[in-house]
Amino acid sequence: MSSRTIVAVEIGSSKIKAAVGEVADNGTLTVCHIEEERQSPNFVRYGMVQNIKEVSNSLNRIIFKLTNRISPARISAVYAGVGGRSMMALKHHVGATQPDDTEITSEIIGEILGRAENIIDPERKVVEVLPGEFMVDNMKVADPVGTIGNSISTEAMVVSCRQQMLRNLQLAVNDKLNIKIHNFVVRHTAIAGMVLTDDERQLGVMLVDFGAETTAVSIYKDGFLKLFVTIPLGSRHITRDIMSRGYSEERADEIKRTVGNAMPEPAESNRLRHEGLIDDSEINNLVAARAGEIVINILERVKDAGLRSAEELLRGIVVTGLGANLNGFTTLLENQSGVTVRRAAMPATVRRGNSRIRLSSDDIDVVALLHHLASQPTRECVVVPPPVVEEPEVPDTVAQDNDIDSFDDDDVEAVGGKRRSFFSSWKDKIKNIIDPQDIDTSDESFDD
Amino acid sequence: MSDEQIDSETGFIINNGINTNTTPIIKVVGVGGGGGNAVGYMYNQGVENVKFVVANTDRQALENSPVPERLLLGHTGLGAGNDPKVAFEAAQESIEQINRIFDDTTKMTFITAGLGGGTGTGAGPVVARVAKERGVLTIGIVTIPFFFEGMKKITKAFKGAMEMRKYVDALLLINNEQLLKIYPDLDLDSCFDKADDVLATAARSISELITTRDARINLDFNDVDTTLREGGTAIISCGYGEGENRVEMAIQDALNSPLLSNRDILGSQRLLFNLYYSRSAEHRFQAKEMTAFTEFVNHLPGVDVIYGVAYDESLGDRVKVTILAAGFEMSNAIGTDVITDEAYQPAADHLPSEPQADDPNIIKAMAEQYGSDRVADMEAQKARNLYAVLSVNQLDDDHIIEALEKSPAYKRTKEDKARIFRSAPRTAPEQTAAPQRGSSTTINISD
Repeated sequence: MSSRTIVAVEIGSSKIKAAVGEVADNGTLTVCHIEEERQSPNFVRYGMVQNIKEVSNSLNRIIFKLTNRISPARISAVYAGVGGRSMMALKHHVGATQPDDTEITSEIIGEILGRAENIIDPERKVVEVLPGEFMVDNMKVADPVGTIGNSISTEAMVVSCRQQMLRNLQLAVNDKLNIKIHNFVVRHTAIAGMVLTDDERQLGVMLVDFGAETTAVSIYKDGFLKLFVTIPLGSRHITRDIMSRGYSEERADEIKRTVGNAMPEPAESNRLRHEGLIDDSEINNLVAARAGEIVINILERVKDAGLRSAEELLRGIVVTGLGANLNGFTTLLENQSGVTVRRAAMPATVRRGNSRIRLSSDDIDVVALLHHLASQPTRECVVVPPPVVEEPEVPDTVAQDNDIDSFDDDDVEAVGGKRRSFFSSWKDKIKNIIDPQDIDTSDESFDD
Repeated sequence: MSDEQIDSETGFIINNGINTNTTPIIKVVGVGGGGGNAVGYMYNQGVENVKFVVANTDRQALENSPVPERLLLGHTGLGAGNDPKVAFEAAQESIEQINRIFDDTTKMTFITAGLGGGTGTGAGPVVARVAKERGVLTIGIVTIPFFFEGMKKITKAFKGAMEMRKYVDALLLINNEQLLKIYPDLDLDSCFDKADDVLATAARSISELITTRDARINLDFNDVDTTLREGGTAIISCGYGEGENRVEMAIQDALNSPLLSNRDILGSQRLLFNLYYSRSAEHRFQAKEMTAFTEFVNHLPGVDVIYGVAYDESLGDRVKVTILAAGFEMSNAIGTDVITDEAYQPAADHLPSEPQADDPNIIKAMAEQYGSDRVADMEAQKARNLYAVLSVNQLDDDHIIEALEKSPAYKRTKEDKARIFRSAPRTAPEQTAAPQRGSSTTINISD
């Protein structure tokens, strides 16, 4: 069997991460390596790359570490997760008419969804188009492919962001590091795809990604995305508020993480002060107020999505993101919304390439990118330098593969057992790359 | 009211029908509506050897007062419109007349005011300042609002209390909320009377104490002065006891005072008590009964004690205990800094500043008076009202994002909130949020 190697990078306001995954033919994802670096606060603002040089330096170190692990292969291209301020979904009605008795095909649907990309503001760039409920000849149809009708339409959700967000990413990754960005992946919808169940999407659920500087919120109901916006408030606002009391950024962050509480008990604050953990009993008032402001902004979206109240979210709220680690945050959200709140979990179907990989809930974002890509036609992200001399013997390569754990067990077995030449497995990958189903077929992805 | 006239020069309303043979050294001054009512209540009850004055910016309120000696603050007579600043200005305008209140034999004065409104809050401190400048032992008795009266009023009241605190020797703080706690089963009228009783009891106790001649161990004005002078937060209270443990009961009764809201007497540094009993009681007062005081004082480490024993034949088998305690160490915020004579700076031009809820001393004092949980709840509610809730169109707005980052949600003011949303530029990216339904594209596949 063959597999694809994909690399996803995730440039967030607090961390830069990159992950290498293997996707088997059956779509099973194996996460092979994850590397990350913490970000200085001003390099990425509200999810948008601000300091191209620093971000590319940081990413370069991460890519270097990953390259060491997958040597002799090297990373030539990545998929980049995007999210942050300006990223949101706008509803757009698209439709087509056709002669009577035309069978609706996925091509037709692809075509009408594709049309949605062009209607947006020139300042913005469409990253993803998600279908809404389809109407075929004015009848609601759950899955229109294969039905007959002469008109088809849908309220497509067009996910777009400022052009600048993508441009800056291109500058940091492509221009500075000479690594091609195959495509952009909307981080939030990727996470939704991984951590929400169909059942939840059907009955109503809100996904909250409480990040460092932004909080992405989406609402699903009746099986479709109803709303997706990015609120320009995040966990770092709390840190900054604490800093306003005369603490350094580092100390403020520590206070937030250790004793900060979104629902402080006055007695608790006093106790902490007595124990010398904080010297300012007002700290938690600051934390609670900002957390409250964030929560109210999150819950305001219920109305925006056209729901009467949060109670229509029958499956409650799912939270993810580092910000959600704040003590008392989920309880506050639960109290204010009146619905259950659960933490997003890494699905069991995601496999680990080796025991060194710890897949914690903190990695949900970058793993979700791989997870999303695994279900899509993707192009190869790594190139292995072709052997200089025709070298039919392969034991070396096998040994190497074993050492670096870059391929999953199946692959190693395949190489060891059938003694396939390295090149033959490489050929599969090329085949994969030039798969006509690819989103963008115009580029040569391994020329460099 | 026919024989009453407002003296055009002094502003006093003189009732010539009142005349006392003694020369009282205690004067009770009620400032503003609440203070005036309390003094009127006390005047109607009739307390001996005490003189009364009511002062107000509201002429009508003065005319309705039973108290003969009245002083109009300012010249309009229209009230202060709930604004302490207006009252302060009015009092400043009438500073000469206020001075004249203390032109007589007054050695000790109670300045009483209800805080949280206009006149009492703004003019009360001015009257206290004048009294203090005249060397009169000045005791402030003020009420602070019920909790339901809201943060704004409470904040204003505390601001006034802190201002008052600067000029009085001792401040007796009556928390109206505490009345509900102590007398939950009383009807509301009686409950309000209880607040007025505090003043009456305090004035009467002291009057009694310094005028009683029938005493075994006599106390005089100097003892009161020693206890209360620069006394910070204080209590002056009185209690009765009967039957077994009657002394202990009387002490507890005295301490069950609205003056001791959420505090106890443990922090006091100076204590004066006077015991009254009847020589003709069926159960003669026994020496061993004094051990109740030993117990009591043992709970007050390092306290200076002055005590007296006097006879009151009207008591029967009951005993009465008057307690003065001052110099509460733990009375945070209001009264912490006992102002010494050197530090005392009469600030004639000082205007009480605008109430600021973010003054940590006020928050602390509120927490002490109303309970920290409730204050925290109220703070949280206030914060919630000032949260910036962004509409979809505002989520990518540069101005809002920057302003929101710089403005912590805690203690945000209305002005801060307005600043976040003001002049939010409506640029192209925001408007793209609008065409949610407007635009549509229909393509014709068959062509």
